Amino acid sequence: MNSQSRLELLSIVDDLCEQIATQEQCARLEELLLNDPVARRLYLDAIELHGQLHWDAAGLGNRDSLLDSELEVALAAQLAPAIPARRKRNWGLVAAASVLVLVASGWWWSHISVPSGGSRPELAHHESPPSPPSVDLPVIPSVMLPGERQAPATEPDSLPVERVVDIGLPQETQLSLVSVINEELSRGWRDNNVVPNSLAGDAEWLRRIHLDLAGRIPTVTEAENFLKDKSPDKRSRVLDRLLEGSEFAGHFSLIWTNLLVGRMPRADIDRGALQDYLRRQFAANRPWSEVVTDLITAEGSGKENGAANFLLAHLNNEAVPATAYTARVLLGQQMQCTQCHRHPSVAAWGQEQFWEFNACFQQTQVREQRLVDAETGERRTLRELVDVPGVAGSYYETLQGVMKVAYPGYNGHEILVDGQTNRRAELAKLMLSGDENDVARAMVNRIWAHFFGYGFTSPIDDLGPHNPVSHPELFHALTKRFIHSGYDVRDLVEAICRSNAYQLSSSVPEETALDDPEHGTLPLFSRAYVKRLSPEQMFNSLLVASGTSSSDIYNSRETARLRDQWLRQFFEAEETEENVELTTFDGSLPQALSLMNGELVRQATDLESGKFVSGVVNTTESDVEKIRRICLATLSRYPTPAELQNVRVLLRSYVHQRSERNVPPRIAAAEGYSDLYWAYLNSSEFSVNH
Amino acid sequence: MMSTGGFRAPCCMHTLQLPVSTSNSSGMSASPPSQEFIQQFTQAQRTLYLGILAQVGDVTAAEEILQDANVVLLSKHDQFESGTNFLAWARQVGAFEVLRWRQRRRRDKLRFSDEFVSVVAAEAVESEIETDRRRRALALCMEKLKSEDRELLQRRYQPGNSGKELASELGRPANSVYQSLGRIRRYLLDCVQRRMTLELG
Repeated sequence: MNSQSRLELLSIVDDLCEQIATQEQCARLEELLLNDPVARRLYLDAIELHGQLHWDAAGLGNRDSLLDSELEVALAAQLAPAIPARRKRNWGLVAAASVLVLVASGWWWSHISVPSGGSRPELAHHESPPSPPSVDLPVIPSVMLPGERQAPATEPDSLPVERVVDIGLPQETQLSLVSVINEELSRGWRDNNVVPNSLAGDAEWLRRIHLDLAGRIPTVTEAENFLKDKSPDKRSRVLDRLLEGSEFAGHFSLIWTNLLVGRMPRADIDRGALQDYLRRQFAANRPWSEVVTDLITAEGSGKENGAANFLLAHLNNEAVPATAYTARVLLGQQMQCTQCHRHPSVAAWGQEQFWEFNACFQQTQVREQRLVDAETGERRTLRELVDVPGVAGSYYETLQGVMKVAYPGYNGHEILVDGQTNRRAELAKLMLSGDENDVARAMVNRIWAHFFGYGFTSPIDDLGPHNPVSHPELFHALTKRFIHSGYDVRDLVEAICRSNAYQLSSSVPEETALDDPEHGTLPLFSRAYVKRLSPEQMFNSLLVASGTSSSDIYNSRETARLRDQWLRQFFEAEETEENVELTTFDGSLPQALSLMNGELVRQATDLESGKFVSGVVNTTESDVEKIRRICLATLSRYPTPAELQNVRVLLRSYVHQRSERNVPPRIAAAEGYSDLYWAYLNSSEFSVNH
Repeated sequence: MMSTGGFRAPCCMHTLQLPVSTSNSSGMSASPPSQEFIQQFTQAQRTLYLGILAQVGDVTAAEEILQDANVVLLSKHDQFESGTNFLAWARQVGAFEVLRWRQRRRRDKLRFSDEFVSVVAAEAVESEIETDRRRRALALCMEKLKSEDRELLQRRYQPGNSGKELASELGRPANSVYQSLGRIRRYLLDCVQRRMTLELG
């Protein structure tokens, strides 16, 4: 190869590096290379040099010298949806740190397997058995080393079966219900020869109760104070604070808004008004029966009456979605397929029942009015729910192809078809009649599953007679009690939070290994099942871990807007007439990758913009204290001694390595802490509630 | 409101499914990767990246492909046998992901031919042996750069930056910035190659 073709080759590689090479240049490069080993070598050396510079950011720290203009770009980008981004990280340290985090802490989800039946796309809408947090994050595979099992933060006592665990709670009001739960679950343990797990340590318990009741992890201050606190009733005080605090209503209203109208923004409804409505109901602990009645009978516009948005969202397509959503979400009945199929096992469920139920909504219409705002001149469409008397029934085609008409009715009861009867009000009454109705059963099952990870049935919204119930007596007792208490949601929640089973650790010792609902057996609740964080919990927790004040989580409009925007990347509406959404937020690798590389995590770990991490880095605390705080802020626990030791060694060698590249040790150390923080945020321990 | 005669809503949600299967149908493994696996995996990242880059000639594409390959490697970690050559296995996965990426890009103009890719891939394996030494040599050569050259290079390789953006930041014509960068890279390449021969001798 002569010097001229050498220069030519290198200049083509330069253009490749700048991504401006033309197809002709590429063809010429091939020509030069294919028959000349020397040219091949030169090409490889040149492109490798480019790759090395790129990988190492030309020997610079990755983020410590962002130019001003770039910072601006980054800030502007914060408003754009997170783009699954480029490598921004020094993978070596991050991966190694992640491994260490896992070595120390990752033992309990190393038992978690991949959801079975993974080939079927998961419908966000359809709540199949809660698939467990599945694949571990790419750079953070879980590792279980023999002898590295982490002891819970406080030494757990073995659980006294059949006795209420004294966690210092005043239990007069709750005693009966709590002991029913305890007795029924212990009976299941005895019958199945399962020994219940040891109690959860303080850190584990605190994180769990915050995620379950407030939808976020505890703040670093909350965790610190709680772990320090030696008083016997400290758990009771936390429970009271959370139950009475506003975050409970915020968290539950988000959950129910999603269940009722999905997560995708829709121009034709006012999601925010629905959420505000629900929030007020949960905050006031309004009886669930009244909330359900509101939702079924709402009239008016979605803006003025938040509850109206449920039906405004689903009256399309002959009110088939309204029928299916009401049945599934509020009644725990899967009717949607019976609109055109025979039920495979339940003869009483046929097309006729579906369309009778559907006919209850046929009186109701969405009236659209085009309005022009007098002041701004802005045009908008006002959508209102109105009842139009006179429509008799629903027409449908039977399996034999015959047209039939169905008249309104529910559960074998007919609703009068006359000018006066408000069908929806009648329907709501029928739904709530009986001493063990489906509205109550569906809510009890949902609340139970919310705290325990599994409901009494799987999926939780299929309570049909074909579906086995794990604890029929308990389910029965809870449902009766729920109705008897006047559909008191908070009462039920409190009883569950005080039950023995809720206090158990999520570790998987041999004794409870048989209790494995992930593999299709009925749950025994002999240990806390690991729950994957919902997208909302994940978002809120990332904010809390990065130093956002917990009062902003549900109260700041800006936070709500950012949350909606962030969620949008994981969901899309399916192009069907059943108002279904698809999600990629399913514990899968794509989810993990978009989190790891997303803007939110980048900002949190950025030494300039990340409030928490810059705060830690800039203190004069010792290394050990910094590492402990990072661990506490993200995982709500202190690192184990071995973990701490390993992280210190790793950080030291990283700083050393960077100083050889003329990076000042102070900056190198800051990078190291930021990377450690990143690794903790992306650990699978962070992404689950255990 | 009345349904028309032929109306059938698409009924796609067959929620009354078969009992949940306990078999591992997704091809992912349930057990955690071994510590050895993770070490090897971490160590192999740079080498894999450089190998892929040589085959596609584009840093961004190479990153995407590397991520795809990592997903496969991690999901199949239990197929890796301790003591065997991790890099060889990872390289195969990488090669396959390059192939898939090229197939996806078939509609765009393909930059390099299949022959080129396979020749370069084979050559990259040979060249890898010395990658670490070259990297050390590069670090030393970087120090010999004039400070303004080093700064220019560092700004160019800021994550997310490109020569074109750098030119607009500096208010210089893009071509002149490309030329400067080319000159600096050429200097570094010569410097690295000289060092490699010296150290050998």
